[in-house]
Amino acid sequence: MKSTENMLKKSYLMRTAAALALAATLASCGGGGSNYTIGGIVYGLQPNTELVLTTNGMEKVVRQTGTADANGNLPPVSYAFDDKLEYGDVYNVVPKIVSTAADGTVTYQRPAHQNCGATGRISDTAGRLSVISADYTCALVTPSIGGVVKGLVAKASLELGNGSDIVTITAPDTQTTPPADLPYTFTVPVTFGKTYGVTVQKQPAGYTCSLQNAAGQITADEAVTNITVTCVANPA
Amino acid sequence: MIRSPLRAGLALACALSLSACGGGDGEFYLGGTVYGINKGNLVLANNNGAEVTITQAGTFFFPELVDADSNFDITVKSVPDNIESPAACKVSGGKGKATFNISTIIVSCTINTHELGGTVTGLAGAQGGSLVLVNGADRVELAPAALPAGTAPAAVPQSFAFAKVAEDAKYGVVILSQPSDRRCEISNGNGTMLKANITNVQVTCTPVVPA
Repeated sequence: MKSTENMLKKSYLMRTAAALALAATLASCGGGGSNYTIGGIVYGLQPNTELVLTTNGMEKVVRQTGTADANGNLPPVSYAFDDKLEYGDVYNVVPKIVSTAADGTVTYQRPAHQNCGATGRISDTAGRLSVISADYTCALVTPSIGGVVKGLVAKASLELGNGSDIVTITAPDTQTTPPADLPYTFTVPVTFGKTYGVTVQKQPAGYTCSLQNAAGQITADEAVTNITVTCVANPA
Repeated sequence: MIRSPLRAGLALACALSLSACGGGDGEFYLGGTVYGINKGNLVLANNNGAEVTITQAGTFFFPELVDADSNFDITVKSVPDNIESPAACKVSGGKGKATFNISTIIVSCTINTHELGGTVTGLAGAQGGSLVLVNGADRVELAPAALPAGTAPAAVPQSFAFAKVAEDAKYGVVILSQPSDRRCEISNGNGTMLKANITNVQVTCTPVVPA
């Protein structure tokens, strides 16, 4: 108890001393009292890609110069904005804005084929925290894959697989004649750069279905929707 | 969130079978989380006595409450049939003294995996690139083998293997790309991984004569 009191007293005294010192050297720190560095760590950034962050009119290009280790882990990239902020300045570290739509939707710049999200305290008041760590974590995009099934008659059911991921498509009781196209999507999306290969794991009774564009590699950010399944009745 | 219905459930269970937990001064619940199972039954025992049967990954609790200050020692008694043995399920935090409700026992199981592979014939000697096979996101690239003079391509088979596939999981091998001077087709390309290695995926390539 005693020692806490002493510490408090000491800290009070020190603060007074600091104020005095400040008063004595007003000339030197009145103008540029900026001593809060805004920075953080960007995790998961792919090699040779960049995340451009902004705050308080500053812009910082955070670039991954490293490569993945044997386990596929990417080195974290630490960054700091070039100019410091003053005590009490409010910061909000966000990716560079590409465009703002009429309805207010903001589009942020992204590193190639990746999405990044805040995983640190990106917005606060300078000086409130002892360490400012406006962290972001990036990951490769994971588009979904799918297509349409043609020729699947009412109540007929078909099982498709991509590796171990299975999707079952069953035509509704209300299926029209001739059958309407039935869209489908696999539940597990595919990471950018990875492959997919779709097979028919179970054919509908009395029908045989075949695939078009069954295999591919994800080379864009958009969903794959061209894996077409065409079912025809087995010969009598 | 998850606790209150559980507690209510336990209370109900106790009310229905007074002998099991109402009688003793059973006070604390005992449980945790199971990882790495996709079917039943995983049976855990406490002090080689009270058991809990678990059918899916996630939170579990022993149906019987344990006495305050009693020692608990969780062991794996039996495992689902796609897990090799009780040793393939590791228990952490499974020993201690119940001085409060325990929900920190972690049981991590590893489902068996088996090899997936097969043979390619007719690829040897192709000049128009590699054969690329995929099983979902798993990719295998096969460069055509050299073809000794006077040998037919089909006489030089090549084997391939994918990453192992979990028992009970589906697999489906598809051609992503093939040499421009071959046309390849797959048989036995899909199915369900059972208890044995799959080594009969057959890829048959035939020469394509340029028009």
